[in-house]
Amino acid sequence: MGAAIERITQSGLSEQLVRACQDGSLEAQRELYESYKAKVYSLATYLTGDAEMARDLTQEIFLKVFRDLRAFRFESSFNSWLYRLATNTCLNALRSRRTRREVCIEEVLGTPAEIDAGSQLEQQQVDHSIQQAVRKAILSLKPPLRAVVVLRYIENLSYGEIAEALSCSEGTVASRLSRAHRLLERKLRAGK
Amino acid sequence: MKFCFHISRRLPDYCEGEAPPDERARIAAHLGECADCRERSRQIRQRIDLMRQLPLLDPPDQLWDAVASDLSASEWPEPVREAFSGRRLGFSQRRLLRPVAIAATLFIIATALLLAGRSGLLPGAHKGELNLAGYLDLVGTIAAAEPALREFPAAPGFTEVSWPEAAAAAGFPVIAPAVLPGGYKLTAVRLYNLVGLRALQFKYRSEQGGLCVFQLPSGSKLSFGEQSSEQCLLGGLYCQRTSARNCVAYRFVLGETQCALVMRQTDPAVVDALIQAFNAASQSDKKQEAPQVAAEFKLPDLDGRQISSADLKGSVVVLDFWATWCGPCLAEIPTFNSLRGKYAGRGVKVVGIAVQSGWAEDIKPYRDQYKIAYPILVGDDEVVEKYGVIGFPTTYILDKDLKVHRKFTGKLPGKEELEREIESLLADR
Repeated sequence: MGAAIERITQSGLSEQLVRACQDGSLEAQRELYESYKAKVYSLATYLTGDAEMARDLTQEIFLKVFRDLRAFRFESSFNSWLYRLATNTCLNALRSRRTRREVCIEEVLGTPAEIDAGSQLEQQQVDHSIQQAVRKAILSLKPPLRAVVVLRYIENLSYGEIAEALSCSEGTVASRLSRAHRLLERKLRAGK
Repeated sequence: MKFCFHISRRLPDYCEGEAPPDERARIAAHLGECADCRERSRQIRQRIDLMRQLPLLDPPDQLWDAVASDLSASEWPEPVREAFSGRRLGFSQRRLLRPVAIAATLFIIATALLLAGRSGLLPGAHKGELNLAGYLDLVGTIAAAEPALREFPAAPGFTEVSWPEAAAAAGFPVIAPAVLPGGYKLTAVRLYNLVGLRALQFKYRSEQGGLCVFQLPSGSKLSFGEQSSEQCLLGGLYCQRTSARNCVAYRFVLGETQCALVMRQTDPAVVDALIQAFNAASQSDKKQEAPQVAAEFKLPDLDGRQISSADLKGSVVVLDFWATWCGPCLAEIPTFNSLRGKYAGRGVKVVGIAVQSGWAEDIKPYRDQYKIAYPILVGDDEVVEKYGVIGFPTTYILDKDLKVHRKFTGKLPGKEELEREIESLLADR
């Protein structure tokens, strides 16, 4: 159990908090939500490229988390467990979505005007356009490659955690990242 | 001779410090010599930094209210077992299955070692014979756990090598197209090199799954232990088909090379196409003895004009398959420029086909930087497959009827030899 507690602690949550969530404490659930809301919403947003869909998915993911958390036995990392649930939910949603809605970059990153509100720093506009290009390039990847890139570079997961989240080997993670880099390179060059 | 092709695929891992130490040393040594791969690794690091700067995003403030509202309205049955829409097991079930999984893994490892030892794939076993019975069992066991069999296992005793190392060490004609029908792409080459036997294992992967091909000299013994075989005609060749649990092996001989194609049970038409591809590649490699007309192509140049192979007819053609990220390819550009200058008025055309290098706009900067004086076409997978290009650079010399006169895989032998070949073709009426 010691190792389990350590794993939970590493993810920034106490075992007590998870147990309180399992017992249905709304206060504990709110605390867990606050700890993970940005990670889950970012994952959904960067994977779908659709802010509205990301909101719906985030809501669905947290409902699934609190429903399925009661079966969580502290045998694995809570972080990986949650990411697996969240990634599967997003990828399933992408699969079932018949027509892809237009990506609304501004909705996600904010418009240059919003970003610059209060400051006229030119650098911020440059940064914003670079971020847009990078985001567009990531969204151009097929979902399995996109998921690896988002989990690795935006969510900062290790190869092992990504492998667990995507139910594949670390070798597959490495190979997908390599393919993703080749495609991103081509996309970003074309966008210059 | 360094092949950037293999190194470039491992650069993201290397840049992130995820490559194993031995591979890290190999890549570092290569980067010390190859300016292009250094540049590629710099770009990868820059791209990673850019992605890491993308912000985490906060959901709308009212989202918690919606979640809380749904929570209070929900009544879930106890206990919840299916955590992932029926696709994944609940944690309690996983706990029950864990000992079974551990036992299965230990069984697989023990069986693999036992059978590998029995099969002659490990040092000290029967030398001079490649017995794949153990390997088929290993594949079958893994395939039972992972039906798609995406990652084909490495055969025990085989070590991963670069393509030039494999070709140099094999000692028999190696036939390994970069791409096979069905979208299978060559992903790894492994070499078995112990006293009395040299063999290669080529791993291929596609979206659907993997396969592998063993190759060894036609005079060496290849067997499948006690497994019985049946003869069949596939891809225009007589093959020995050996069925095992969850997989099947097709053994066939192409000239001096003996092959064993190992894959999951599949449609005979697919196997037919695969063996046909090996047969065609083998024929292509024989072109030096019996010249055959080079495959036709129609590709855009860097200005978007379509150039076809027919446009080159009537000239001796030096056809260079290269890539912008391949250091040895770039090092050979002055040789091709020189050939172009020397033979321009004598009916010799030098043409470069850039592959795996992006679009025309991506290639143009390299044309300008290296002052490439001959036409560059933007190649695709099809032309790579047709010409059996398995690494870069690959250079063809075609006669005036576009028949293959010579094919050089890897570094060119030298400008003098190229000139000799060209002169012989020019003198030949």
